[in-house]
Amino acid sequence: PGGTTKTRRPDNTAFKQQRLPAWQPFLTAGTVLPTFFIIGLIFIPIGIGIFVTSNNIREIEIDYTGIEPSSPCNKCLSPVETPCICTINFTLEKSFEGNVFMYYGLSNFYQNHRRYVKSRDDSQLNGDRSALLNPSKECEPYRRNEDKPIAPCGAIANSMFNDTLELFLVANESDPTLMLIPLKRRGIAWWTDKNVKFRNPPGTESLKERFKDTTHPVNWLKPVYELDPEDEDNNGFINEDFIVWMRTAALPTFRKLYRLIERKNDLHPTLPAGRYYLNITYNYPVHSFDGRKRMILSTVSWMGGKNPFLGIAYITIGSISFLLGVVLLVINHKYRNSSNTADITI
Amino acid sequence: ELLEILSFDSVRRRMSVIVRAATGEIYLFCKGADSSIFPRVTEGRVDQIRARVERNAVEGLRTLCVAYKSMAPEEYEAACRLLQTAKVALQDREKKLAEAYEQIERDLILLGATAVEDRLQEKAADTIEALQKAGIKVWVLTGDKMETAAATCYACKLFRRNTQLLELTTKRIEEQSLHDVLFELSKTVLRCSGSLTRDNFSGLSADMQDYGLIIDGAALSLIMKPREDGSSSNYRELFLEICRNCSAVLCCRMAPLQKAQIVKLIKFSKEHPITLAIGDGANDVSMILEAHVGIGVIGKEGRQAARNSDYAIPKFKHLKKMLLVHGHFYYIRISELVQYFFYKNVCFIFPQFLYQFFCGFSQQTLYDTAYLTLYNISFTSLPILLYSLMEQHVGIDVLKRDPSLYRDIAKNALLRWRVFTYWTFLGLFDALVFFFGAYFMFENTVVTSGGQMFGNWTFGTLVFTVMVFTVTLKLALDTHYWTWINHFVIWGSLLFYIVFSLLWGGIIWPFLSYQRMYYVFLHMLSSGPAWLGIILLITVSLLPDVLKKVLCRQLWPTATERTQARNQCLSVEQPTVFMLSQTSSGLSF
Repeated sequence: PGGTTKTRRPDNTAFKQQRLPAWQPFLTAGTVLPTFFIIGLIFIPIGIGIFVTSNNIREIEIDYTGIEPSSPCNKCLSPVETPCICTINFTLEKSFEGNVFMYYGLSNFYQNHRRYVKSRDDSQLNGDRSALLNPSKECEPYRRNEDKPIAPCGAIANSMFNDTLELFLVANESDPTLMLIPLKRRGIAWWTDKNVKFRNPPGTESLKERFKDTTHPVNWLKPVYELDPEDEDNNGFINEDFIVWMRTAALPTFRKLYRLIERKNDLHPTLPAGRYYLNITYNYPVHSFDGRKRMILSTVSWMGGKNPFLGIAYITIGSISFLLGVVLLVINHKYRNSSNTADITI
Repeated sequence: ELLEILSFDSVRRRMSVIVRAATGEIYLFCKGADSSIFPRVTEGRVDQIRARVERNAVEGLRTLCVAYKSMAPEEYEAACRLLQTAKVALQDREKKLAEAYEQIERDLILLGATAVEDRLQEKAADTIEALQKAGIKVWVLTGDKMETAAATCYACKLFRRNTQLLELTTKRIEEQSLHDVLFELSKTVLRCSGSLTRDNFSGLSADMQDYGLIIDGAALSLIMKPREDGSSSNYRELFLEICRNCSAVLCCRMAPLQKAQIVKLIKFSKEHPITLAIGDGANDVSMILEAHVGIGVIGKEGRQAARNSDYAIPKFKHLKKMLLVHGHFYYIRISELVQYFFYKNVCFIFPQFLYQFFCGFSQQTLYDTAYLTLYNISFTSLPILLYSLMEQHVGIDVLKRDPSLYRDIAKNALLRWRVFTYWTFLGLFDALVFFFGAYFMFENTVVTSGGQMFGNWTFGTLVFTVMVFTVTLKLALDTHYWTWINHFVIWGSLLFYIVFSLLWGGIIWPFLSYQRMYYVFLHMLSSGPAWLGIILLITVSLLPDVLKKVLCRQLWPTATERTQARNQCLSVEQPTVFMLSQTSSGLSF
């Protein structure tokens, strides 16, 4: 080895010699104990808060599938006349304050099935003209019908929920007149869905003109531009009921927002306690696959609807954490006394 | 003038040169090991020189004997012809050459003996002592004489003062049969050890007897020779049993192939230990190639060993840092890499599997395809990569100072089935927490203050977010050496995930055929219960592992953990001692 040959010694930098300045923590009982106690102390109040909030939320569920023969909607399972209208009466024990939300719920309906979820054309729903007349292959077999493209195409659109629900309040027992509760149909879909993701095909002519050369989905009774003839801003693809339905649910039992019942300006509760009539135009058949239909009325807080699980989970985890902290404290104390004497004899 | 060279080979252990002096005389000079020169010597003060050679060997010097003879011209011619025919022979060249050498090198006159003090490399004794403390069995395989080798072993502290030496040499086998010798030796070692495994201590305790075994090449070939009655395997087993109970083994007079043979014997013995061979000469090459890890010392004897090795080091003392520091680090790093990779993928896939029970077994994915693709590539790859390059669970100087920490990772401790099962169950537990936590919190419930519902992509994104944060924070909890790079990749990966999600769902991407992720991430973040749920699920997932770590450290600390604790204590106590001594001397600062 000559002196002129380049030395192959690695550089003596901190990086290459693994001497970078570093923090070297390790989990001992001393560092972890306070964390357990802090977690316990934070989680338990949060859990109690959530639980109390959830308990204050009012919710009522009315199943109106009509499976039992005694149910008023049993006649609609095999309808004599279409549309079949049935009425269910129920009672609210306590009044509902603030904004009340009306949902329809379905059970055993697999909106999360893979072939169902992919059966849509987002460019068509975004107003793309070429996609309108030539929907994507994913929509098969709901892509063309009678030699015309279907707008909106796909199985999700095809199975849109089309029951109509109306709510009536029995004002007082003596007076048989029913008071119709005003149901607001705007504001139920995600703002971004309604204003960005779903767009009607562009054009200045009427909506019907813009959708010419297309046909409505196979299971629909009316075409898409007649979903809400009164409100131009809620017609066509940007119909909010349609948009709500197109957001596929995660699990086979789900609910979707149907209508809003806005709070009254005066001090009267939105839905006072009493007897109510639910008028259902029963169009949507679910009994063939053992499904169920429900109507849900619910108030909402900052944390959404009634969800006791979150509160209970927080309280449980907080208490477990606190308990573990205590156990660790005991173990630490016991072992610290015995290991102190051992350490001195280094 | 140099006429011929009869080159050295390790079988006949000598070499010769034929030279013509200025006067025209032809001489043959031969040098080699004493056992190969003495039989060929006819004149000279043989006994005196033999005694001298013995004495030199006992002192640890390497001895050679030198002899010569003068050759008549005809003799030289004959020798030349013999060599020529042998060199150009097409078949059995080695054999013909050996015969030729045999013919030429005879009737020599002994000149004398040389002795070379082959000094031990610096810190060789220190290194061997450290290796033994680390629980590594050290064997010395050498071609030297027994006396030289034994002296060297005493010098490098392989044999200590109270080590009882057991000999399995040719001398003893001539006196008794191999069978008897082996039985006697095994009785001696097994008497003391009983049920104790010798791995548990480094032989420093005073009451246990330390054994060292000396065996030479001839005895080894006797043991290894296959016999008709099938008893050779018993001899091998017996031999290995003896070796297992000795703290050090010295094999002398080893031919290079025998060195490889012994390494092979150990490799396939009952416990299948991992073997490392280190050598610096060409005669070590076969042993280096045979062992699991072969290390060549780049030395004065050329680079043959270094060229054939897995690792080449300049000095023997570097072996200590290489094994105890770098080897230890690499093992910790790679075991964590392997376990963590399986763990994070279990966390990734198991929720998808669970979801199938709720989507009609239709193979609907829980997460968006972008997340599926980028999970292992972008979101969770860099932290573990940098961990496996940079992690140091204890400091370098601590490892160098305390070789017994190496025992914590002996016998592949961190990649055993038990550890792997723990990691897998942790992954399964975490996956169950992610999925069912999200399920119970968001099933059929409204979680936004506007009353709107989440869809399936929001549900999946929630599970995915909890998962990415949990696996990254799990790695953060496992990291014991936080350089700026670790901070950068760990927090950077999380930040990248958030930024990516915001961008991915931020606009309607024109090239995408689906827009299902549009605004999903932001909508999820706008829900209070989603935040609370994420925090809760992350905490629940990490809690068992933290608990297990703390309990194990408290109740069953490994040597490494005890050292870490002690270092903490010491660094706290030292200032106190310092101050006391200052005040007692009355100096003021």
